[in-house]
Amino acid sequence: MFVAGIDLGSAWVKAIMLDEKLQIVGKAAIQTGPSSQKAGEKCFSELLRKCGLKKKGVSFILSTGYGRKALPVSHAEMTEIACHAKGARKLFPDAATVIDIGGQDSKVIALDEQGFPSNFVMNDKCAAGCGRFLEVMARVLEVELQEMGPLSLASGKEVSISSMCTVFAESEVISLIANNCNREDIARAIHRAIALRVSIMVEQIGAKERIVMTGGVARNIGVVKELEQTLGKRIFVPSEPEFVGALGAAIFALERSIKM
Amino acid sequence: MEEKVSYRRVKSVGLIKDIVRGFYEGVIDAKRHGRKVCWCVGASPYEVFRAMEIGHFQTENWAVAVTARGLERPMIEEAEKAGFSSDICSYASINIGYALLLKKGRVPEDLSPELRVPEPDFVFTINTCPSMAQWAMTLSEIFNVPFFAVDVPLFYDDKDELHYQRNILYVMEQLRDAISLIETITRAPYRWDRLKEILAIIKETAKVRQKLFELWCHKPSAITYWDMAIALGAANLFRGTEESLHYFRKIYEEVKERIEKGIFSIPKERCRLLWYMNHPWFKVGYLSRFFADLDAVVVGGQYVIGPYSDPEKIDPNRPLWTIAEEHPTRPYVRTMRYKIEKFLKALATAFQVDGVIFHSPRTCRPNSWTHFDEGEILKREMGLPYLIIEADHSDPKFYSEAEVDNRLQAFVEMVIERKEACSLRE
Repeated sequence: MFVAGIDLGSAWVKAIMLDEKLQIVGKAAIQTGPSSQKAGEKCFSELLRKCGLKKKGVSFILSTGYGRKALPVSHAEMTEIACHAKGARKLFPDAATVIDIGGQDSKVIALDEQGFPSNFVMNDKCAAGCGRFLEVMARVLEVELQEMGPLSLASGKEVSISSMCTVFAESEVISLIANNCNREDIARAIHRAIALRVSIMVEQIGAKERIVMTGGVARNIGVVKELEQTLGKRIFVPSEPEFVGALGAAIFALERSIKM
Repeated sequence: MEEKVSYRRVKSVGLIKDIVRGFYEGVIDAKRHGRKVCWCVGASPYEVFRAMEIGHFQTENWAVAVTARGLERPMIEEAEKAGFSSDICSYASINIGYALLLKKGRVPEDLSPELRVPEPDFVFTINTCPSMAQWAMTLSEIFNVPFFAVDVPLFYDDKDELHYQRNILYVMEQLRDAISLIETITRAPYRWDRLKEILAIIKETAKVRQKLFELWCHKPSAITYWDMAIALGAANLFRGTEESLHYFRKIYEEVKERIEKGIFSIPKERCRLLWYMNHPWFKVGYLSRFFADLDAVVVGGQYVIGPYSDPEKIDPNRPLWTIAEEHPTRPYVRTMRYKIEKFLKALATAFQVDGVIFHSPRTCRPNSWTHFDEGEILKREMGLPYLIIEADHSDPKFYSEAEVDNRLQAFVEMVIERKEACSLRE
């Protein structure tokens, strides 16, 4: 028996196929682009191709993420809060706090002893502190997104960014560039600004260890390091943090499939 | 996708449409027949005006009627063009925008005829909310009419009976002054007997509502928060009328019959929730279906219980005391601890809920900034999870569907998952 979890995020669609023993059979990811539905269908086709399966061979498909309702092929949908919690707990059975920073929002989830979400908080009002914020800042600094993390590690001087509004922060970065600040120092300031914002959310719900970070931004070593420093706690990052939501969705799909 | 369930609304709540239309037509008629008209800002003692046949309405209720019809936009824009911040209470923005358009003779053409309320002869307010006095003063300036404000103090000591009595007497004295003003404006002696008759109807209605409350708490739910939100006007502005009494009798009979026949609000009730503070009026239908699709039911909440809910406290032979004593039932003039005990814990217990949703309106900060503390105390002392969402009661631009829906769904998933895992373990 095979089940699929598809995470239709704002930037990327990620999909995972599981067998009945909870083993990962295959993964696929494509950029979301303008249509969540088309990207979701394309990603699912790619997943089927990689797994050598046909659609009718998949017993249950569960979608998550902002585009979760846009995928007609899925049998059910759940929010990414439930799915990231589920996926993180599978990878780290003693996870007590999950930080998920995705393309357009950041969220912190508290898990109880049984691994069920007991509380969650999400960023409000704007994209500050999310993947989209980092994309804008990388563009201003003229570096590739994936270079932002390593770049910031070379910082030797502390500078700060006070505003967390993406537009105002961009203005601040431009003025720092105009004042001949190093790109390394600016990159670190950007990461610290994100860390400060997310750490408030972590403290709000208790900051219990073990803390696991999921979502694409967890690949940025600079953000993870600044968060660890701000919280004074170690953060554990899975090898493919962007797939954790899809993994959780696939586990839920398997549970539902068994119930049926 | 899985097959979605449907929401079964209590049909008789829909009868409110005729009551609303009739009520506002009555306000227009009052002006037409040379009677005085009063715009009441806030939860005013409408029965005091009704006894003297003064055309009156509550500006918030009127704003809700406008919002429910999706007609608020031009009014809000007019208020913003005049310089009012988009952060002020959206009920006020709509009402003040209308007042400005009315003065200019430019009332939006698509506004329903019955909602084209005439200019006031005076404005009345009770400041149970910090915005009320400013709002009433603004209307008074726009129309160049007098305004009268009753001050309701904060009941800061929940245990001191003397403090309570003193506050009620303070409100009573002001109500006495208001009645003198009404006698001056109408040039007629006050009709105390009529006021007593109206209070008797309110008492009779309160008895029906009390019996309805017992059915409202039934598990599974046969009438929801959203049904009661629609019925709120009949408990509030239209109270003391035969229509209101008849209306609640109809609802009571229907809900009783639903319970007897096993017809419930949603087919599969997996979790019960309490809603705290007001709600987005422009989303009532949408939210009732949204929760039903998630197998969740928002059962109750303090906001839609309405005034005069305890018949024992209504004494038609002591009208001023009865009216004055209604105001400490407003959460806005009570301490946070009182609200937690009387409004949150008591209702959470009565409705047997699994979680609480706090609505934090973007344009009502004075009444929502204690939500985090209230939620934390509730979680600690009752073990109930809570969620705070940001939206608005009457301004749709502050309702971000993707953001709000995602939080609500995640919360329901969390509550159901934990509840069902817990019952499996037991």
